[in-house]
Order: sequence, then C-alpha cells, then structure tokens
Amino acid sequence: MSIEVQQVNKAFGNFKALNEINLSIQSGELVALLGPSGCGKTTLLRIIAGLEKPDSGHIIFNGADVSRRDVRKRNVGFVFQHYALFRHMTVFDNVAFGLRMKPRRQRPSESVIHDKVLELLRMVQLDWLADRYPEQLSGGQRQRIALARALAVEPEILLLDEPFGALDAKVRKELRRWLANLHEEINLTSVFVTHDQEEAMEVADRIVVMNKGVIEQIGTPAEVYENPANEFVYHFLGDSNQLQLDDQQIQFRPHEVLLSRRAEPEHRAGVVRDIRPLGAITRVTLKVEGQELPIEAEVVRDDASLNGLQRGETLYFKPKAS
Amino acid sequence: MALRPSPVIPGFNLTLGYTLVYLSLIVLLPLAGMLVYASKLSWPEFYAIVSHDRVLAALKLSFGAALAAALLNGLVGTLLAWVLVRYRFPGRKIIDALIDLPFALPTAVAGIALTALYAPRGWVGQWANEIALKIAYTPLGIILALTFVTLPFVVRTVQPVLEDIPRELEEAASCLGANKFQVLRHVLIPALLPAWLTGFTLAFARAVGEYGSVIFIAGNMPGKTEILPLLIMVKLDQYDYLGATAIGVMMLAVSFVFLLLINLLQRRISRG
Repeated sequence: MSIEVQQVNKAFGNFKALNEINLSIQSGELVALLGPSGCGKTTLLRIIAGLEKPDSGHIIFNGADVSRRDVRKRNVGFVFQHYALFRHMTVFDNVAFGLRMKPRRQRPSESVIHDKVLELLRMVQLDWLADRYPEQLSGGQRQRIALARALAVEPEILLLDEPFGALDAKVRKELRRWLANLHEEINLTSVFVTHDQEEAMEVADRIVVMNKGVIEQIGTPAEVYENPANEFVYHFLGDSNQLQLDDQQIQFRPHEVLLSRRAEPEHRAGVVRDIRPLGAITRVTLKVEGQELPIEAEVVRDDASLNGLQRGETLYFKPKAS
Repeated sequence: MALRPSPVIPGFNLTLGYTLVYLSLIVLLPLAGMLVYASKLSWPEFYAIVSHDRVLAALKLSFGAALAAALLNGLVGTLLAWVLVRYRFPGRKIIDALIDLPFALPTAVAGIALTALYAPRGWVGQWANEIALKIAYTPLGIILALTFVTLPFVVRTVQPVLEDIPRELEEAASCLGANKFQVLRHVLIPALLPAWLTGFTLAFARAVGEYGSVIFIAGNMPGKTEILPLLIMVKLDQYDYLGATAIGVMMLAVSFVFLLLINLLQRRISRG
C-alpha cells in the first residue's frame, strides 16, 4: 500500500515539530526516516499511524484520505521503541492479542489463532518461547515478539519507531539484517525511524533525512551519501574533515584521502597522533600545522603507507576530491 | 519459602529473628491473649453470645458496610488515581495532597463533621430529606463515614502502578484493533488488578475495625445501625469482658477468613 503525506504541520505548544511535510512512499518500499533527536521523525511516524493528529495536511493510503481515520481502522502495524509488550500476558497471548480483539464476526476460531500465532513465532524464530512472559526475554527477543504481534493482524503498512535503539551493537546488527531479509520476503510497505545513519544506509531502499521539522533530502542511500543536498545532510551521513587550504576551506570524508610516507606534490604534511585498526580499514589521526581540528584518514588496512607506521611520524596526505 | 540469605540485607538470622519478635510483641501476643481469655468460655457459652440476634445484626452491618465502602472506594479511588496520573490541570497537586487528609484527621472529628452535614437538618441532609432519603443514622451514613476514612487506600496503591504503565501500551493495543473498552478490559485492568486488590483489602480491613467516625453518624440503634466495635464497647461498659472478648474473637475469625480468601485470589491473579 502506498503512503502519501501532504503538507503536514504539527506543533506542540510553541514548538513546531513538523513544517509542511510532503512525502510519498511507494507500495512495498522500505523507507528510513533519519535525523537527530527532536527532528520530528517520530512525530511523522505517529501521524502516519494515526496515533497523533496533524494540525493540518493529509495522510493518504492508496489514494484514500485517512487523515480522519482512527488508528484502529488504519490497519497499520506499529512497533514501539520499548516494545510495549503486555507484561501480564505470555508471548503467545501477546501475539494473539490483535486477532482476539477483532469483532466477533471477523474473529478467527481459537484453533486458527493458535496456528497463525505459532506460524508467526516460527517466522521470528521464537516459537520455543510461546509460554514465557515478556520479562523473561532478552531485548532482541522482545523486539521480535513485538514485530510478530504487529504482523499478526496482517497490516498493510509496517511502522517501526527506533526498532533497534534499545539493543546492544551486535544484536542490533543481526536484527536489522534480519529485518531487511524479512522485508524482502513479505514485501510490506515499511517505514522506520532511526537516528543511526549506518542503520538507515544498511536497511532502507530510500532515506528521508529530516532536521528541525523539515525534510532536508529524500533519496536512495547512494544518492544522499554521494550527492548530499546541503551541509546538514553531508555532516549527518558521515564523518568529515575540514582543511584550510591557502584561503579556502575544503571538506572531505575520512576515506576520501590518499596517504604517502614521502613528500609528494599537492600533499600536505601531518604528524601521526593515533593509529586505530578497525577491521577492514585503519583510521589514522593526523595533526596538521596551523589548524586546530585534526584530520582523520581511513585507508584499507594493507595500505602501503601504514607499513610499520608509528605515532609521532610525519605522513603526507591529499584529499582525493580536490 | 526460600531459606537463603538475601544479598542486600546481611544476617538472615538476625533479620528474621527481629521480624518474628516484633510481630509477636505487636500483633501476635495481644491476639493470643484475647484467645486465651476467651477460652474461659465453653463452646456453648461462646456460641450463645455470638449467635445472639443483636450480635448477628451488627456482624452483618459491620462487614456489609465495610464491603460496600471498600467497593465504592475501589471505583472512586481508581477514578481519582486515574485523573491524578493521566491529566494535568490546575490544582492537581492540591487534590493529590487532599487525598491523605482523612488519615490525618481524628476519626471522631470526621464523624461529627459528616453527621452535621448529612443529618436531616444538615446542609446536605435537608436536600436528601426532600427526596425522602435519610443518610445520617442509617446504614447509608455508616457507609459514608467508612468511605471517607478509607479513601486513601485504593488511590495510593493504584496511583504508582498506573504511573508505571506506559501510554505506549494502550497505543499498542489500539494499533492492534482494540477499542477503548477492550483496552480497559484486557490491558489496563489486568495490570492494575493486583494493586487494586491490595488497596481494596486494606480499605476493607480498616473499615471493619473503624469505630470513631461511625458512632456519631450511625445513631447506634441496636439491631439496626449498631456496628460490632460499638457492641464490644457496650459490653465493656457493662463489665461483660468475656462477652466483649467473644465478639472480638469472632470478628477476628471472620476477618481472617475474608483476608485469606482475598489473598488467595490475589495469588491466582498475579500468577496469571
């Protein structure tokens, strides 16, 4: 199901959370709302879900204006940052909740519910936890149960609010790959909110970069990274260096740099402050004379310039772009 | 029961010993003394005292009114807690502080104030009188006094639990298609029930034993508006110590059965 957000505004008191938001999401797309905290991304997600009412503007699902439609009737699955599982219910009952709440005429029989819940639990690979209570589960398990619960009512749109925000780094990485795969499989129009650019880059088909209640740029991960629309997007999507060259200041990413042990034309000299092997790449921090900010250079770990390099040595670097 | 030392408070033996001595001195000994004193009566004598019409009428009134007051506070107290937790309005802090006042006020003062208000010529009583409703000097008045005295229990037990229930829980339920009634029935009530039951039990237990506020508004007509604690006082005034003790023992037994049942119910609920 496609989603169309038209001229949406929302203020909380004097604080303008969303300012003239326009966004269209195609059916089956996986879109990330990316931005720093307080940029309005969660508010936008909640407005799409119907948990929040916009001050003005429209939300359109598949051509139908749902702005005035209640959450219950929008048929969206919502996954909360802190899972919001029902503590007094078992995992099974949590997942079955949506099916059991259906009006009597549409409600499936208990045996159908049973099969459906187990199928969903198998899909999130947690069918062996059906009889446990949420407090007996780990964070990653809870998040997957929350997802299974949201999917039980067969929503046409899946909305996730910082779905991996409360998890540790490793689980987070596993879970987001898993989510990307799941999306491939069931191909449900999905929108998720994150403040982690890496997460957005890794999972999303398209990224909506937001800041201070407005959309700064919409594009594929490659587009927003390679062709950032403005300074904000450039800085938000990755680390950057600033270098004073004669009378102008230039910016470049840590990986957009060439290193050399010998002085070469157009290269600048820097004293090695720190060397950090980070797996496939190694980060070298350089102090350049005449400027406060250090330069960070990221090169492949077997780069010739790194061979036997020690702190305190002088290294020559050149931004690739310029 | 787990017989392993708590990692937080050192000295399991010491703490358990202290607890038992304390409980014995404050709670068990007076109760046991009462039982020993009552054992001077033979069973037929005891039965004769507690099955007297006047005693039975007072028993019904005491427990009935306490149950009614606890239920009333169970409803209104939950509502109060809800309003205090979920809404922000001017004067909220003041209302919050007012809730505890019934505990601070001497119960006799409460009883006299309520009587003055609800007596047939009182401020409220005269209006009630016009629609032929008598409040003071009827069981209704007793329930009113008990409700006043036990007001804080349910509010104060439900309030913190309600504060701990995130809004997200209700939102999650509505996203899953639950209507307002279903959210209340399947999400909020199950989460609140254990705390509510605790508040209800406290209110009920306190109401059964309440004396000071009731005697002013009850009118104390034997067999009609006479509560058990008053009956015990009457017996004491007549130097009938054994009779008073017998009634006390009976109250204790009935209360114990009630509290035990509620406790069992609570355990079943919290086990899910």
